[in-house]
Amino acid sequence: MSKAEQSWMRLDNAAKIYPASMRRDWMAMFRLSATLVEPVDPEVLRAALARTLTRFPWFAVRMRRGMFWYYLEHNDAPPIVEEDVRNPCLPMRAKDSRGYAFRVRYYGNRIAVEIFHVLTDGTGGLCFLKTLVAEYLTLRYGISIPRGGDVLDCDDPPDPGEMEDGFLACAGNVTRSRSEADSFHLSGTRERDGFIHVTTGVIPVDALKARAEEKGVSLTVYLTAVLILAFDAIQRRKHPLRNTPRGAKRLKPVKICVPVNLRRFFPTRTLRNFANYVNPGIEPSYGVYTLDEVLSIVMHQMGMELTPKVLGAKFTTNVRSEQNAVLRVAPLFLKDLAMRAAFYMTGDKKTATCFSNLGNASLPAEMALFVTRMEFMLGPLSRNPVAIGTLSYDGTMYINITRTIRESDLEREFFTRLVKLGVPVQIESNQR
Amino acid sequence: MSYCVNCGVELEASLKRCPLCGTEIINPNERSVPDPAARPFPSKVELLERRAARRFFTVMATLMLLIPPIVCLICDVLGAGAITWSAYVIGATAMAYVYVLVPFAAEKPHPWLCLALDCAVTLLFLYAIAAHSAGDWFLPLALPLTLSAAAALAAALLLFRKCRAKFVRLAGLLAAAGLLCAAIDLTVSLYTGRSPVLYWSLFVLAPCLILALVSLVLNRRVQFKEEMRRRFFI
Repeated sequence: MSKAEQSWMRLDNAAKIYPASMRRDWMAMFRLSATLVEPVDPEVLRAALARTLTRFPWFAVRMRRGMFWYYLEHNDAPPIVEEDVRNPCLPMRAKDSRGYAFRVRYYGNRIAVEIFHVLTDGTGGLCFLKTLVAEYLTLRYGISIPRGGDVLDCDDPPDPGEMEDGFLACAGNVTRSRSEADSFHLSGTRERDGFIHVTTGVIPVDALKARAEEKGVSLTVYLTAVLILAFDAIQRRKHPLRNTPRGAKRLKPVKICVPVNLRRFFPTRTLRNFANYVNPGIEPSYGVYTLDEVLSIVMHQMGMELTPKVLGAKFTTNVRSEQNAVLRVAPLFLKDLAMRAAFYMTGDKKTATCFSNLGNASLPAEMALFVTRMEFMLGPLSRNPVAIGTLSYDGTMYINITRTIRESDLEREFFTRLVKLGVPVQIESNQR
Repeated sequence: MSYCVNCGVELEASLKRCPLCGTEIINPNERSVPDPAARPFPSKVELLERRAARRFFTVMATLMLLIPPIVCLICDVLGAGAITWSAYVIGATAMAYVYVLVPFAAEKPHPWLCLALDCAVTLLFLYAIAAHSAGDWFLPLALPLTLSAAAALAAALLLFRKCRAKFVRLAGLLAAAGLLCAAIDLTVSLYTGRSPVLYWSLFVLAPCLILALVSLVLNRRVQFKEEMRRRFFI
């Protein structure tokens, strides 16, 4: 790849909505962290980050406004490595981050990467974190870690296939309507100072897996179903008038946005955004559901949607709107307005929250000796007050619930339900 | 190792309250104070910059507001050789500044102070116009009109701060509006040399007062019903 080609790149199809929809007090952020066995040395971490960035050129960028689109321009400034804070995933300001759209933070034994969604999705972010930690361990302890899979070799040149826009590469011809009903939402008291509450549920994977296997479903389906029931219970409790035979028709659907890693379905090596979503949910106005019913609903809804055919048609819709000739020649500020309006009208409205399960993070044995814990956290959503991110590592699942309101109804409803189902839960939090 | 008595979840050692339900954690067997470094998050809290944006906007708006008076001043001086009509523009801009930007610049504007300030600059501006144009209307007309408007606003402000009931607030607003009209009517009558009785303002005052009474009655209705139920239940 030539120097000129490397110096700037377009935003991928999914990333285009994020700069248009960001506000002064909100950006679509997510965070991945790894806890090591010893305190982190910031100087070594800086050196490791510099090496990692040579392998991930789409991280070494600053976002700029063009005439018609945003674009990512190569950034040579030293990237941000700073001490961690109590309320992670706050929006980044370009002047504080030297233009970068991600930041690396350390606290005690932990290395955390907070990433603006414009760069990559959770899977790409996890690959970045694993490579960063591998570089750090190599520099700090002089060990040799076999590269391959998600742990990239920073001596290799960047792979153009990892930088491609998977959506453009895999788009089909037929589109699919995006319209659907609005969901129930939590409401509550906003924190005046923008504090973000983080509640972490630490769960042994075996116990959860045993419950899920009993019912013949996957972990994601099981947790999604419990989450749907938790929201359903909150809606019925908060709106007693809707929870009567005559008012039942005013109960709103409860739907959860579950992001899907498209790399499982399409042949691409891309490490930028390549995810779509399904919105499984129930219609509470039809009656009170049991766990078995919800499990069956979620499993079948996801089974119907999680096929390359449906997913392909879904993201082809977005690719076609990006390729629309009228939209393309519209100046950026008009696009911003239109996309902002579209995001406001659809975006968060269709679902009660986002439940992102990154699955199980596996590390090479040489690395696993030094890493005790890995976590995934979604930053707050634009309008929904809660967001949930989970990652399993070494037989333990870490469920991170991020919340922008004071009331912790969802956490309590969700985790106590798990306890009642026989899954032990340990709670951690960033409470003040 | 503690469990929340309310939620049944195990709680991490550094927690003081259950993050799910807020119940205080009291474990008589564990009296040791946990190591602060073992907490999952540091104590430093990152803050969103709110004040900076406010200050930035205030400075920008001040600079923008300076443009019209300066342009007018230059035109005036170039044309007439002295400050004549541009004084009105300068005064009006200054008044707009005090009305809008002073409350905006303050993080939590003090309502009474703002009202007093607005009243003072209005009077000052009117006095300046009267003095500049050698008019005799400031004392008999401008002063009482401004003061009665300020008094009506002050009454509304007091009402909104003291009273939460919507119907009482509405009644108060209606009464204040009606009385303000009556005050305007009287002042104008006196100024034009007519006898001090209410003319047109009667048609405003009467419906305002009646509607105010209606909303007060509506406000009492719930309490009234409750009272009846209490006294006559079988």
